[in-house]
Amino acid sequence: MREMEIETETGNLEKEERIKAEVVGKLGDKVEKVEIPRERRMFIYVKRKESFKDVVKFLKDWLGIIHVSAITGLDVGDKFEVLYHLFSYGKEKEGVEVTVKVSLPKTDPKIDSIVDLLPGAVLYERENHDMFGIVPEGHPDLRPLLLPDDWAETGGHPLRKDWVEEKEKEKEKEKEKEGRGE
Amino acid sequence: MVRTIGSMFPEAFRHLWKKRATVLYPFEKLELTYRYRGKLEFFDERCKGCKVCEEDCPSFAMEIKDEGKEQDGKTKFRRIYHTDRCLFCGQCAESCMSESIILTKEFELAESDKEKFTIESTYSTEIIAKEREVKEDG
Amino acid sequence: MPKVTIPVGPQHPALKEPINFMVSVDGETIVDADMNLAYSHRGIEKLAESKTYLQNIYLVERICGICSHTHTTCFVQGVEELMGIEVPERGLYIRTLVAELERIHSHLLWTGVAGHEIGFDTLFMYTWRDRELALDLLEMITGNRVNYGINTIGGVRRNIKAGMKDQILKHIGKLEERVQYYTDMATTESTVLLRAEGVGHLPENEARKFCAVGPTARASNIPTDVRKEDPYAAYEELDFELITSDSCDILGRLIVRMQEMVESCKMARQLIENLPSGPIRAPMSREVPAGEVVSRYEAPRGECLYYVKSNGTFYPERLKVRASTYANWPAVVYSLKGYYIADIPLIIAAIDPCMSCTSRVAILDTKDGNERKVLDMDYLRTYGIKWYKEHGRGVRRR
Ligand code: SF4
Ligand code: SF4
Repeated sequence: MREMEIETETGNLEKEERIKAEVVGKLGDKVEKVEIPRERRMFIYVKRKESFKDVVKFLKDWLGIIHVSAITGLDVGDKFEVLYHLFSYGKEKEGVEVTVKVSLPKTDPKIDSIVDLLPGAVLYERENHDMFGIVPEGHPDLRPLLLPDDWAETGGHPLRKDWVEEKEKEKEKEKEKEGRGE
Repeated sequence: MVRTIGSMFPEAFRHLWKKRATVLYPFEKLELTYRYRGKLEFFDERCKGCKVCEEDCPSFAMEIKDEGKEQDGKTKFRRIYHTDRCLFCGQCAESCMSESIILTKEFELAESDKEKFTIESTYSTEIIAKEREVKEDG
Repeated sequence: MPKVTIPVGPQHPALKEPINFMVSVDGETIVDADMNLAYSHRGIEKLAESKTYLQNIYLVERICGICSHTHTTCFVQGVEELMGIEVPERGLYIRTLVAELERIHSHLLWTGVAGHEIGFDTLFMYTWRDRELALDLLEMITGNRVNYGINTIGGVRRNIKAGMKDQILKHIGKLEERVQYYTDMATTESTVLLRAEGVGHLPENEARKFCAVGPTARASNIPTDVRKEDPYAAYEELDFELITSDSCDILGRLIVRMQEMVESCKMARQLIENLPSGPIRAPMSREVPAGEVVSRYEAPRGECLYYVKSNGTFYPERLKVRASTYANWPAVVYSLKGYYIADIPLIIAAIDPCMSCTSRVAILDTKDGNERKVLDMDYLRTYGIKWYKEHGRGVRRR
């Protein structure tokens, strides 16, 4: 870890800078900002969710980044963030983990599915659909994956911050009743 | 590629005269290493009541209850240790500044009575120091 | 011709772990497959949000029993990066040594399971006996056979004593010999070849498409390995080879794992011989500054990814875990197609699956009407006690 950090400080970030230059140059207004926290790590913030698929398409076609490591959903108060962890496969010490970050409004959590571009994303998008209710539009199959098959519509999305367990809800109701009775 | 069949026969035959690889457990027991993390043992007289062990326990197995002041100025504490919840990670022993928790090699902890899983002790101690740092070398 | 759909699993499809495949067959040949995951979803990501970082180490350790070191290393690496802690060299070396020993034990376990699946139980018995060598070493270093609990934020918790080195080298020598023997044996023995050769074909482009990871990808000739691509811990200083195979079938996956064990033995030897002196851990604080980090690790089964977001408190804001088996499922579904029903267990087992997640609730149809009820553990327990009181004979308390 020590050496890694020192290298970062001395600025051995050529390939990251190269990718950044390309992304900023070609996609310009679609990208809000590009961060390089350390060697082989990159965060790309996409400005609007409509243009997000273009960014992924660009990364795939121009930079050969075709490996989806995971898709993370995040509940940040008033909106959702979706993080696509992409990676360029099979290059020794060359790979860069590119995380593409998109925000979605909570009222309309829809995003274009990337399954047609990167079929490996199929399970991760379903997972986020279960856990956050983020709908990947154009996904071929959105049955529950991690939740039980007969998870109620009203059961909610467990990883949202405002989600409460059924049991807890009942307890709260009981408390309310008791409170009123007294 | 050369194909053979039954290439493990010689290996298997050779082992006919060798010692068994397993042990007959309740009668024979394997020697455990001294680093084994088994049931906890407490030295309550060393405890300072900082409650760090309770805070760091990942499975709520340790409870240190403050029972109020005694006449001689000491504070009374009650320690409740739940063996059934403990996952024997040893974090409490590591976090404890006064070394009042050690891990023993005892691993046969099955019981048929649930009450026996809870071990309680009361003790009183003088200082309540809230030390929040972890020892540097483990 | 009408298609027939048969369920495989959730009880024991290949390993004794729950996953269900709905396989459509035409005669004996599989034409389509679909899967149901998460019979054992435990909600660890949610739970992690309510535990401190220190407690979370022990929580993530229990995601998987076989590659528990994977999860803790991946997690603490991320947290260390957030906190800006520099782990002492010796700590990194011990971490890496445990990781490589874990890889050996995991691959030996897999070899045994694969042998068991094809009905070659002799292989199963002998590999599992030799796996004990690796487990003994792990027990000696860490104190436990599984769930080692050796990682902590800032380094490792247990040191390697001078006297241990000889023992470790001795066991590694033995392991090397045994692993070499199994490699030679398994690649020439017809019992294995007949079942593994040409089965579960996953061509390179499909493996790339479905984002396969680890030995599954390497057996399809993709040179991917986080240890090489994105070196962490002490891997940058080690000399090892990236093993790939171009046969793209189960035999390829077997060979890749076998040779990886040889490489792991080599690495373990290097690590022990060049073990630097010094402290094993750096002091840490309990508060983690706000930020986010992506941490990657090469588990025995492939790439493992953690995303940690902290908000400056004792508790993480979000902990995302992507374990390696999860990434390989689409590839398995693909490689099932076109093979016989009898090959299903082996093809599933070939990615070394590990379904570690548990459901917390059971859902029951109540008798009257279609109303559904969610039963929690407490209810199930009282129900169980009641049932046994009413029905059980001989199930009495002493
Ligand atoms: S060993 Fe671990 S689980 Fe058990 S009481 Fe100590 S901290 Fe808690
Ligand atoms: S950490 Fe040690 S000194 Fe503090 S309360 Fe626990 S046992 Fe007592």
